[in-house]
Amino acid sequence: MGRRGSFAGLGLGLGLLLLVVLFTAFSLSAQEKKPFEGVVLNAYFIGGGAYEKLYTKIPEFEQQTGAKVNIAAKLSHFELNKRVAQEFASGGDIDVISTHTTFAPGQKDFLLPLNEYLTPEDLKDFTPSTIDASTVNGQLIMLPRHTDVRIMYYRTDLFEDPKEKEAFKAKYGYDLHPPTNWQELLDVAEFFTRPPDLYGFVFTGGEEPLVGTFYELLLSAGGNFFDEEGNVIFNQEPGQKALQLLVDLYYNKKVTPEGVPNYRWDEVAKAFRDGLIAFYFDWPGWYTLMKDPKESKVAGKFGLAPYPVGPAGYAKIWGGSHGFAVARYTKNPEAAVALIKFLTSGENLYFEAREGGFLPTSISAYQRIKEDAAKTGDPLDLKRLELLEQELAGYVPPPKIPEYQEIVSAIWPELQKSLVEGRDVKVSLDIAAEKVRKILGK
Amino acid sequence: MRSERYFPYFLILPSIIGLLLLIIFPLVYSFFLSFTSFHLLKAHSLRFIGLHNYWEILHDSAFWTALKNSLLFMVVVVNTELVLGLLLALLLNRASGGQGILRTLFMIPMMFPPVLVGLQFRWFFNDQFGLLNNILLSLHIIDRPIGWLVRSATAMPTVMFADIWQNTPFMTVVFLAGLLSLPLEPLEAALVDGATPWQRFRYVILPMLRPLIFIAMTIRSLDAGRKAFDLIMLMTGGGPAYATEILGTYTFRKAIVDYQFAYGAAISFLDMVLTVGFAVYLYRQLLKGRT
Repeated sequence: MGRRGSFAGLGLGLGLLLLVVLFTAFSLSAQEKKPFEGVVLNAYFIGGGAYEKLYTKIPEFEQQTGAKVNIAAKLSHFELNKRVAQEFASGGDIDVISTHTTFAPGQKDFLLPLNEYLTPEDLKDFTPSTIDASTVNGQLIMLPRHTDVRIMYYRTDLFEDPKEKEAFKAKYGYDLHPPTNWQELLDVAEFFTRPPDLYGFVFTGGEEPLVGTFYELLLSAGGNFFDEEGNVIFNQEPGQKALQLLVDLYYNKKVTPEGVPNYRWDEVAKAFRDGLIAFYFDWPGWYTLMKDPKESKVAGKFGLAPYPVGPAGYAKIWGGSHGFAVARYTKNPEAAVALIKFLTSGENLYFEAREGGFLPTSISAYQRIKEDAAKTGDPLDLKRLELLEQELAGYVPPPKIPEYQEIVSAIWPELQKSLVEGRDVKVSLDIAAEKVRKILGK
Repeated sequence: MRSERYFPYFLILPSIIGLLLLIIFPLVYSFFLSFTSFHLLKAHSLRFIGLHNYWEILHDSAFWTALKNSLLFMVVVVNTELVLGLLLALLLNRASGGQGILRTLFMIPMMFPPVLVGLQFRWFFNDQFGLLNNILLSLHIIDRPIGWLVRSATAMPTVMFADIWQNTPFMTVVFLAGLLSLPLEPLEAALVDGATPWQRFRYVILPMLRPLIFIAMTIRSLDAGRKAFDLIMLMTGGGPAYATEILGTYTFRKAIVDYQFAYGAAISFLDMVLTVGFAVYLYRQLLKGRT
C-alpha cells in the first residue's frame, strides 16, 4: 500500500522531469541549429611539436559548427603521405589531410578541387605566391598554411672580424661580405675553410634536399626542369652551371665537410649550430634554436642575408607551403572545406605563427607577427621577417606534376655521382634527363 | 577411429591458416601484382601489362648494380665470417681459463638488432664526430676527417665491416659447438702418428666439420640480404650513388618511396627466385658430402 503508492509517485515525478528536460532540449536545439550537426570528419594531419599547436583550436570549430573532428593520424610527412596513399587506394573514410605544395600535385587524383567552394573574398588574405603554388592546372587543390623558404645564415664573428677582412681583401681584392653572387660564394667558402674545425660552406648532398638545392641554382642560372611544352631541359647549360657549382664546392675545392652526401636538413643545421660552418642556406624555422645558447654555439654570433644571385642575374628560391586539402570522395565536402578554411584563417595562422615561429601565408597574420618582432629588442628578429617577406613574394615550388617524387628519386643518384666521383656534369645530367624522359613517356 | 585419423590435421590447422594468410596469399598476390602497372597514387593503375615490368628490370642499370652489390656483399661477407668464425672457434677451443666468459663476450655483437648496429657504425664512421676519424686525427695520421660512408671506394667496405662485426659470432658459436662435439679418437690417432697442427686441422678436423660449414654458410647466405637492409639503410641509405644499393634497398626505394608497387613486386620476386635457387644449390652440395 505505502510502497506501491510511493513508486507511483516517483514514477510520475521522473516522467514529468523527463518531459521538461526533453522539451527544453528540443526548444534550445531548435533555436541554435548548427550547420554541420552530426557530421564526423576524419582528419589525417602532420604531427610533431610545433605543428600541433594549431589543432588546439579545433574544439572551437566543433563548438561553432556542431561537426566532430576525428584526428585519425598525426605523423611526419614521410609517414603521413604513405598512410594517406593507402587510405585513398583502399577507399577508406578520409575527409581532410595535411599536405604540402611539393606533395599535393602527386596526390591530385584524390583531392577535391576547391574552386567551386571558395570565393575570391575567401582567398584575399593569402599571399598570392602561395595560392599560385597550391594551384595545379587551374584547380586549387589545397589551402596553404605556412611557408618554408631558405635564407642565408652567416657568422658575424667571422665576417666582421677586422683581421679576417684584411686577409680577405689582400687575397681576393674586394671587401669581405656575405656573398652576393656565385663567384663570391666560392671565394668566401674557400677563404674560411680551415679543416677540421671550420669549413666555408655546407649543403644537403642527397635525395630530395639535394634536388631542391640543385633546382634553386638551376632557376637562378636561367634554366628549369621543363620548358613550356614539357620537354626536359635541365641538362642544358644552366643545369650544368648549377651542378658544376656544387661539384666545385664539394669535390674540387673541398670547402664543405666530407660527409655532405649523407647530410640532410638536420645535419647541416647541426653543423652550423656547432660552429663548424662560416655560412650556409637553411630554413627559417631553425632561428629560435640557433639563438638559444644552451643548444647553439653560435648564439648571438650569426646574421641573416639574402641569397646570392645566379649567372642569370637574379636569385630564385625553392620553397614550399604546408597546407590542408579535402579528399575527393569525402561525404561532407562543405564541412571539410569549412574546417580547412577555419584552420587557415588569419586569426588562427597568427596564433600558430606566434606560438611556433612559422611564416604564415596569411597577409594579415604576417603583418601582426612583424609588429610583434619589432618590439622584441633584437633587431635581427624583424630583419629576418622582412628578408623572408621579400623571398616569399617570389618563391618557386617544384614542378607541379604527379611524377615529381619519382623524378627526384631517379636523378639524385646521378647528381651525387658527380659530387662524389667528379663525373663530368654534362654526362650526369644527360643520364638523369634520359631517365626523366622515360618516366614521363611511360 | 575416424576422428583420431583427422585429429592431427585439426591441430596443425591454425598454423596452416596462418601460413596461408600471412605468407602464401601475399606471395601469390604480389606475384600477380608484378604483372600489372600498379602505382599506389595513380587511380585506375591496376592494369594487366604482362611481362613488361620484368622486361624493364632487365634493362634497368640500377637493378643490375643492386644485384651485383648483393652478390658481392654476400660472397665477401659470408666467406670472411666463415674464416674468422672458424679461427675464433679454434682459438676459443684452446683457451684454457675463462672460456665461458670469453664465449659470452664474443657473442655480444650477435645479440644486437641490426638497427642498433647500423646506428652504432653510422656514428663510428661519421665524418664530423665519429670515433674513427677522431682517433686518426688525434694521432695525426690524417689532417682532415675522411667521409668513410660517402666515398664510393670506402662505403661498401664499411658496411661489410659492420656486418662482419655483427655476424662472425654466429659462425664462431656454431663452429665451437661443432668442435666440442667432435670425437677425440681421430685427433688422438693423428697426434700419435706425428701430424702437425696444420695437418690435424686440414685432414681431421675440417672434413668432420664440413656439414656444419655448409649449414652455417646456407643460413648466413639466406640471411645476409635481410640483415644488411637495416645496416645499409641506416649507414649509407644505399648511397653514394648506388654504391651500396642491394636488391632489398632497391625494392624498398621503388615500392615504398616511389609507390611503384608492381615494379617492386617484380624485383622482389626475382630476388626470391635467386635466393631459393642458391639455397637449393647449397643444400645439394651439403648432401653430396654425405656418404
